[in-house]
Amino acid sequence: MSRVLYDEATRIYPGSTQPAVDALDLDIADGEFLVLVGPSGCGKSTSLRMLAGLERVDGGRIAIGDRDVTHLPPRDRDIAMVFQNYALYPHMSVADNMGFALRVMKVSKDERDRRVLEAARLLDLEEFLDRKPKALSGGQRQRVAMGRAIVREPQVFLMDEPLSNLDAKLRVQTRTQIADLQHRLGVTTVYVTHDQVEAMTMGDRVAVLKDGILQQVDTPLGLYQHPANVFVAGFIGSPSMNLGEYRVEGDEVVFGGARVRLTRETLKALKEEGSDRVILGFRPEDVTMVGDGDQDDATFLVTATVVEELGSDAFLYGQYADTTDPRLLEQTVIARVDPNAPPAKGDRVRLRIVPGKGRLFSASTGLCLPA
Amino acid sequence: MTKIAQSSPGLRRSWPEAPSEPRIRFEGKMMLPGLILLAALSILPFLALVAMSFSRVRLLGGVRLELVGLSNWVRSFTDADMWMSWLRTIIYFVLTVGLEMVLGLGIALCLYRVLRGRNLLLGLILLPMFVAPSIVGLLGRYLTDSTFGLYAYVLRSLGFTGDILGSPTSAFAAVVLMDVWEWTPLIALISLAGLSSVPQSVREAAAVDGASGWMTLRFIIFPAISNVLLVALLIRSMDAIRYFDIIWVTTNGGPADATKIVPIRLYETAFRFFDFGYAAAIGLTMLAFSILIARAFVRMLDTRGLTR
Repeated sequence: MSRVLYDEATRIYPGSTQPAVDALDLDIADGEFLVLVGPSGCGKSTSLRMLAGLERVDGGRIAIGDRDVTHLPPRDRDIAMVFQNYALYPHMSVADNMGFALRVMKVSKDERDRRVLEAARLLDLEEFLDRKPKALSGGQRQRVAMGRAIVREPQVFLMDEPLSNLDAKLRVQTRTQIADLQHRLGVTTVYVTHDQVEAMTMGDRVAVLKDGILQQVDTPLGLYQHPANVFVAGFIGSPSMNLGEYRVEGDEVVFGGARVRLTRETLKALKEEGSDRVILGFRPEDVTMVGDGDQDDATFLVTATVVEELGSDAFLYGQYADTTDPRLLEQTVIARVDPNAPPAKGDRVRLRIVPGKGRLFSASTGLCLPA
Repeated sequence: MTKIAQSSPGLRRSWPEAPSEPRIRFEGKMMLPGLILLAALSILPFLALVAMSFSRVRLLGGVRLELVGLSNWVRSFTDADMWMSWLRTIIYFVLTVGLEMVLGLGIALCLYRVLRGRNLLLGLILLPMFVAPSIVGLLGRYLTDSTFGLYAYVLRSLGFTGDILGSPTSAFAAVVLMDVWEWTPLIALISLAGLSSVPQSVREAAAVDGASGWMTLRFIIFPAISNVLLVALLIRSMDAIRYFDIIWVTTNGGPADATKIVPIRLYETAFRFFDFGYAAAIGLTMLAFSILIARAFVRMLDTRGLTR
């Protein structure tokens, strides 16, 4: 159990000028569950592999505990990794797979058997110990891969999309199991996923990466409520945040027939930037439907094109109705509506952003503007 | 399909009740031409060979078989020269196949590490394989010639003054090395294919699990490619047992029978001394030996569940 530190860690693949991971700074506390999340090609797996020692570090350094491991081979780092395809040793039984690291460490056979059995119990694998990986289901293989990591009792667990090969139902189940297991074992864990739901539900903190650059690290709720930039705002949350670039007129932002007043801080920031455009974002749940009687400047009209009814929720996908701007017409507005009385397809609905819930981002830098 | 073909056109829509299995089914009929060809090419000659092994074959005045009972077989198992030939075959077999496996695997492991230009390198390494064995023999004879051979010259400057193909041990070593030179690339190629099939993530898992290079090789890579190696071994073994070309071209079984392995003796017996009965017995023994070895390999593959 240890703290993990990325200090401006950089990886540039040979033949490329663009770093795959660009000066990554991350401080992961002892026992913390940190999730690296981002779209494919964002450098999250590379970051993890750099920590594992499977990928060279071209700049900066990486430390586990007090040890600088930047240039140590994987075997000297005292880490355990769960691979996306599990990477079980095909010719070995489940027990041998789980015990291989201990065998390499020259742990006595008794001690080895004891620890393997203990891990197998924890993971419900006792009856499969003699089987070969070939004879296991996907979920069981995944558990063996987990077991192989647990048996080691390493300083850090590394998990590279360990759930992506499972079906949806099993994924949700295993998700909770892993989070629970990590909590019980208290081992520092770095977990890579492209699935933001996984990231939000599992991590103590979540680090969002894009194009090799760390966008934001925060608690799941922190990311959700205070996204640092447009990318994080759009990436975190499902359905994702409504984002659009609009014109600022005077002290108001104008979109889809609505005018929303900006705060003095926002206006100041915009003025410093010298821009008359701003990106406005609002989450689907941060709009309310208003009756025609309540209409004012801050409401806008949307034509429902699709209404998704999920039982506990209903989502309206629509288009701005009160505009002729072709760019606005292309946009889809998503809004959570009352699941007990959802509008029908084709209805025109008047919406208002809940005061204080709109997020404003700079149109040039994408960074969050002060509200 | 058979069932439909058997039933009358009017009954096509319904299946005939409990149709009796035809004696030769559709698949069997389709295989028949092949089987007939195989019989003509292999089975009949084989039966003739068995008959010959129990007879004395007279060639003068028309081919005649005189039954002599077991005498050819008894002779082949009591002939001291024959036993020496078998011993040489086995030594030859172990040396060539052993060296080829070790060197081939070594080359494959090295090649696997090469990332840039691997294919070019592999192509160069494979070249010997594309040379006809008898040409390899001629080339070997040329290179070891005591008057103008390059290797003879090199060895002479190292203190070995004898004729390479002229003294028993060096002649045997020479033909072994020629075979190794020609067939190591095949093992390297097959091993490399095996190595490439071990998933990268499995190697990485081993590295993370703390295994050193040797341990990864010993516990992860070898077991993973052992099946491929076994197939390579099988292919080479079958070849090594019936090995003929290079020895025939270089030493002709000499000097003083030093390189006279069973196939060479068989050829001599049949086509030099025209003792076809005895040759048939030797040939059948060789066949049995090959089948025995092949069976052993197939069984090994079978226990790993790889034949199906």
